Amino acid sequence: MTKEEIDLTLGIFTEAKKAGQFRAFWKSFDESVNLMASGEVVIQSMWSPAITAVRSQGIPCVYQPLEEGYRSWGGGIGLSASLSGMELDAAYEYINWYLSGWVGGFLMRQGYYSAVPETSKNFMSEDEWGFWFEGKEAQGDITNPFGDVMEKAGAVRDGGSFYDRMGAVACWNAVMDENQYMVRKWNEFIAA
Amino acid sequence: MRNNSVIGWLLAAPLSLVLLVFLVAPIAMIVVVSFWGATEWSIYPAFQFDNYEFLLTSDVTYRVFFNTLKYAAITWVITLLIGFTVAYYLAFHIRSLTWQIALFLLCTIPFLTSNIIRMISWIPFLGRNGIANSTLMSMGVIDEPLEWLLFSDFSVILAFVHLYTLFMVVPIFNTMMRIDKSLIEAAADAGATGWQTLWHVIIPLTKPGIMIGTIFVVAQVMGDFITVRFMSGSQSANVGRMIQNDIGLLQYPSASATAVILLITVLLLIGTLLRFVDIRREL
Repeated sequence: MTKEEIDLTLGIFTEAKKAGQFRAFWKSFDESVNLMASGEVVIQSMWSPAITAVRSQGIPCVYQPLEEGYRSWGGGIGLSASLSGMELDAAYEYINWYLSGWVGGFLMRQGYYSAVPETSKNFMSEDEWGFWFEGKEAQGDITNPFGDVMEKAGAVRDGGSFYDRMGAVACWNAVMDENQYMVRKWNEFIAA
Repeated sequence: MRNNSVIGWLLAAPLSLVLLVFLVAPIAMIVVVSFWGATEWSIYPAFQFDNYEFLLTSDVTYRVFFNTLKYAAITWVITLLIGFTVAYYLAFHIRSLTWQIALFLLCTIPFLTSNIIRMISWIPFLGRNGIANSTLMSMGVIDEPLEWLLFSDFSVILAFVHLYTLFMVVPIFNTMMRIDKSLIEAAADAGATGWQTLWHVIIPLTKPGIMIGTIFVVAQVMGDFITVRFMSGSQSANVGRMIQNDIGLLQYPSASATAVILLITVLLLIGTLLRFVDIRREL
């Protein structure tokens, strides 16, 4: 974002804050879950596993896809330049294991996508794969990674399949070129 | 004689070394970094005044420092009133030493748990669907939940008072216990009323305790960030939160500059407080 865009965005935020729009801001996963589960807030931006955590408590909570598209973020594993020999081998081995499917299956049951979805498929049932990846109707109970039932048969994932959802990403979370300016404006917003 | 001075140096050395390594060096490092520059992902050594220039010319800084001082002042007044009353009761109304010690220990029981836990437990209590609101509603006092109970200045100050009152009680109680009881008898014999004894005898003699409690409370509130973050739902700012936001986005130089200004502010504040009471002499 440019400085002008940051100003515009935080200008809108500040006006909304002064009008009492916001109840609280969260910084950690459990905070976002507690805010929703306690009824302190009724609408917020959340991570996928946070939604599954709220639903696992028996509280209905859904993603509402926006007309403008999704806001997305991604993460990956990097290698340090200082690695060599056995440590480097071990690091590669870890990455190979990480991408070999089990982790991907776990993450996908939380609503995330793995970098190599194909390998995750081997660690998910056909019904799970259909529900989480292909956007199909659930045939039986859909559980979270810890085995708690989240969805009954007939449920469909918000936004549809992987391709529908990831094809509609409007913006990505990233550290921006104007990071320092953004922090200053954020501090100003919090103080407003 | 010569030998004595060597022993003196040796005796002073361990503490000086510890303070040098763990107090002076880190602060010096913070001062150095406060002149450095930052990009989106790194910090680089430099000698520039950008961080200070922005800090001292932005009206956000003044608003946030004002807010921090406001929290400190309100918390100070309330903790002083409660702390003084509790200490007074313990020192002058409880006659037996055993009971004094027992009740004093009772005051410290909440402090056996983590202060984060003590703070966070207010959240479900004060929340929109919390115990406070549901009790008031079932009693018919209010029709809809009071929003200002949580995530407001009220909840921030409530948590501060809860967390820090004991730091006021302990030093005041300590100085009160040293007051010679015959002075109070003398005041009564001279015809002073209860209030006059309190105002002209007890309060002046308790000043060092009040001052030490004040320093504890003010320094803790000025340096806090976690209470303000949790109890205001991240909606209010104080200096600590400003530093935390900077650090969270890798802006270490500007965080350091803010920390230096905060340090100077707190030192000035405590320096001023110490002008009122000579703690060394009183202790």
